[in-house]
Amino acid sequence: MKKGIEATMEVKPGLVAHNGHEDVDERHRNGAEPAGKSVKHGPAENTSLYAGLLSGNEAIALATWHSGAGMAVGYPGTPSTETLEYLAKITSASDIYVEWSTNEKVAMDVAMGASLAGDRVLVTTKHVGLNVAMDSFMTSPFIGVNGGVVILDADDPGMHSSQNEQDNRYLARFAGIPMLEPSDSQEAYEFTRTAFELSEKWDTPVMLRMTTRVSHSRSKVIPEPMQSPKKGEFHRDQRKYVMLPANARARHVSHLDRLSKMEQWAEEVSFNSEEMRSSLVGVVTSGISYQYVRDVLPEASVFKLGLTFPVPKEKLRSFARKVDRLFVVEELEPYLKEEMAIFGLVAEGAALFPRNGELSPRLVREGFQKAGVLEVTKEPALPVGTQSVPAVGPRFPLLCSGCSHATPFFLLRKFDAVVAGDIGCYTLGATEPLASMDTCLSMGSSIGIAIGLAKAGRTGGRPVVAVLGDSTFLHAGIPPLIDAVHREANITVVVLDNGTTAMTGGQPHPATSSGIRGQSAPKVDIPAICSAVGVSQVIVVDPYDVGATSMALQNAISKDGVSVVITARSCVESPVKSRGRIYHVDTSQCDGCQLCMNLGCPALGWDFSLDIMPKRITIDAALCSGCTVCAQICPQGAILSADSETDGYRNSPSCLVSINDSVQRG
Amino acid sequence: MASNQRGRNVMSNGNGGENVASARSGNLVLGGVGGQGIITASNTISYVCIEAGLNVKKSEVHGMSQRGGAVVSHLRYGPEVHSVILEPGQAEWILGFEWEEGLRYLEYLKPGGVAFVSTERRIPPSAQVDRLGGKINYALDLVPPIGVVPVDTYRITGKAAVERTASAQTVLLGALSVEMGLPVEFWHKAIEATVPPKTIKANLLSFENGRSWYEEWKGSVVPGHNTSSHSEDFSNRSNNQHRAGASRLKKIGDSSEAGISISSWMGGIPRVEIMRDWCKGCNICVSVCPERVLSIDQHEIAVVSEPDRCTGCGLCARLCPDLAIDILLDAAIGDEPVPSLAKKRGDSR
Repeated sequence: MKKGIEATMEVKPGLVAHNGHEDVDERHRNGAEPAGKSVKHGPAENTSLYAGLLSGNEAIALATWHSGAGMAVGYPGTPSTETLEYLAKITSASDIYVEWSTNEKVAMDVAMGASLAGDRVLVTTKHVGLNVAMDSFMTSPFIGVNGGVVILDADDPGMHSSQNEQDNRYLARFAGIPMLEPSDSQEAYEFTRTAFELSEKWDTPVMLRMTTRVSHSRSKVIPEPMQSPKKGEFHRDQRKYVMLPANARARHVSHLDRLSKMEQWAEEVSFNSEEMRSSLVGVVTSGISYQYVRDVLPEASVFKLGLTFPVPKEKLRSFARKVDRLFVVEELEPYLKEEMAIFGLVAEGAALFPRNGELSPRLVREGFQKAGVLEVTKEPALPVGTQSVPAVGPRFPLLCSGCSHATPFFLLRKFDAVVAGDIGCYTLGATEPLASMDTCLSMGSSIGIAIGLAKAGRTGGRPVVAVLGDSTFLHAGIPPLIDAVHREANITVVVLDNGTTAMTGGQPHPATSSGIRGQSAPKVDIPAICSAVGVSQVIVVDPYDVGATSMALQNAISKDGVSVVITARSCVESPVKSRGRIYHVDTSQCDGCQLCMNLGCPALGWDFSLDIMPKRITIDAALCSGCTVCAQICPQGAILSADSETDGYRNSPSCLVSINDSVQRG
Repeated sequence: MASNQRGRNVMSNGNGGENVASARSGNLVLGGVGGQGIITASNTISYVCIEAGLNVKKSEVHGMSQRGGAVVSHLRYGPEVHSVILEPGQAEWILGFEWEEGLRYLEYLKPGGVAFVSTERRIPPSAQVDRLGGKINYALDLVPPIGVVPVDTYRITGKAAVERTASAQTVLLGALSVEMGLPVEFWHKAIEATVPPKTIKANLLSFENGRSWYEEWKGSVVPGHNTSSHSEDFSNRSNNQHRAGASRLKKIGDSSEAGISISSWMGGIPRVEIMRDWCKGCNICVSVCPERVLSIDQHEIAVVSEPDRCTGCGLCARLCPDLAIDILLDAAIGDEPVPSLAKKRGDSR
């Protein structure tokens, strides 16, 4: 970390705003580096901290610090995750409190509390995360703020890593709070700084709406001078802060009054801009779509909205009068088009650009071709010669080699269970060859769905199992577990405890012993939580021990009522990359039965140096983590470590026997 | 593409139509597999462009990609850059860190553009699922399409391919630097600033090796070589250069192009026979079968539910505590069973 920061300083001192610069250098010289440096609970070293080329998320983090914020909280979720990680990396604990919350609603509440105490606060969430925070989010403008509250909402059009592609611009309108939409990293920086001021000006949280492409693209950021932290104080104001119906009624009136004032103000803001070029075509757009329009139609006039709620009616009307044809280009839902239709401004666009998926310059071009604005090019889209390119097969994401989630799924498939899955790396347990997940809906939904499946009782005699990760369990799995106990649901809950929030890159959570800066933190005990809510059978097992895991699952499944199996083994990639003894295949023993290939381990593949069928297996030494699971299940004992040969020791298929034992008992 | 005969309401296209890359602007696509250093390489290139006083934008996709899936980054530089992602046919250069992941994005290549594609092959498990026929769903063929320069990164930098040294891929940056035409000192500085400190030396070496390899290679194709007018030579030349690699890969390709029938390597079609009277429904065979051929019926007896998937591995027969299972070999044509499975499998070792 230290290296990365210093490299940055040498290259471009401008990255860190002027009066923050010396502080950082000083701190690193003094060795006040966060504890646990060897532990990678945070971004990888030497990522791309250089030359002021920042991702949208990093720009927001920098702007948050430069705005003098006292706190930043959130829950990891693609594409919002890097914001807090970067902020923790460039600041120290004395500058700003940065921490992951247990879930997004907790983060929202913590933020409101800190705001009332006078801190400026950033809340980060992905689009579906805001659903979790919705209860507090909707009422937050009634209470208002003391220090500014900025909600970074990162939508994921195209669902690069999400379960839906909802358009959260509607949620800003729904809550009636100002919404800013940056279109590159520089704007992400500027809009964040503005958003804190707006939040205080209008006494309401402000939404900063990002999309994957803005969050995860890098471009140059020129920072502004840093603002010194503003520390207010909590003052009692029950009429404003206690949402009893009597108070809330009055606050609703103020809220509506503010909305109409904001509509007036929207006409004057500087971050909406009218760029007049040709009068043939006028395009209303915002966010990343603006960049696509500028590339595809460099001559068109553009009305760029930086503030997408509320929209400036008069400005848009006047723009419409200046152009022959008016278009709206926006990603996902026809939000802007509807906003404009409310005050009678009808624009083309809905039929030209798709309502699902991520927009791209190509789709924008095709839309304008359909509209007759651009000629359809007659040249082939592919360069000459590339037609002969062989068809390239898909490459799916996989569980890592040595992933501790492989064994439970491998076994659950054998038990023929109905498996309610959840959100995390382990959702990949739904794909071949593990293919042992039947549902996946939302964070923490697995347990509730399992209760429903078990209570409805028509699973063809198959046992019902809920599978979720440790971070997901803490995020939203505890209330449904309580429900399962209280309602005596006949289910087994498998908590895949790998000691990190792995899917988003390895963030700490309450059941880990560190915080975002690597500092030590009290650890919440998952088995104790399960016992405390009344689960009578809680088994903790090492998923690298296939036989023991099989027995534990079998015992739990055969038991009536709620049982919990916790497969505890730290993630193979995070917080530290774990590598054990490398295994190899004795090709004289392997008979190509392919049982190990059913684990879906990326290190296992066919041995192409042998021209025999069935294909023998080989282990990629560069990928093998030494987890031993394949060696345990190999019926031939053909998978060995370098040591096992010198010791004269060979794995016997004893583990298969123990799997069979447990099956027989069941 | 930029049209001169615009109608009254028709506008001209935006950039992307120009065929000539100047040293001051360019578009790249970098493709590979999660963990290969694609993001680091795109950082290095960005750094070079910034050193040259240009604007840069680049895209990254995280999320599911870091779990061994395909990773792609678009990078654009020039005096002014708007969109961060490219349209097909806009890229001057493609860097493929893995053979198939380089070919995957060829539609982005401009006519006359160059795709530097590493010959490192990482055949995903999903391409190795035809257990009966052994067919691989992977573009093994090393005869490169026009515009593709196969780069044997490990050989060029003198590393063993099995070690998967990430710095070997910096050979691609060396080759690219020749085409991009920005000062080489910028590249050295960029590599030092962007790769992990311990690997700076190895990366600089790979970079220089890649640079000199490509200069020599390019010079030997046609003096004063122009990629757009000699793309035919490009592919021929690359075949010669990589004859050794190509023949090695081709051999693998031969056995996998069409796949083969199971009877040709087993000597017959395997069939699981279960003696129902001996079976007590213990489920062992069902749970160990790698191909999920067996199941338990309503009478608690094992039955063959997916006979076509059986590879004849014999695991069920060996583990059956009641000796209730036999694997027979049916002749591919004709009806006489050949009950000599164990011997056959022994022979095939």
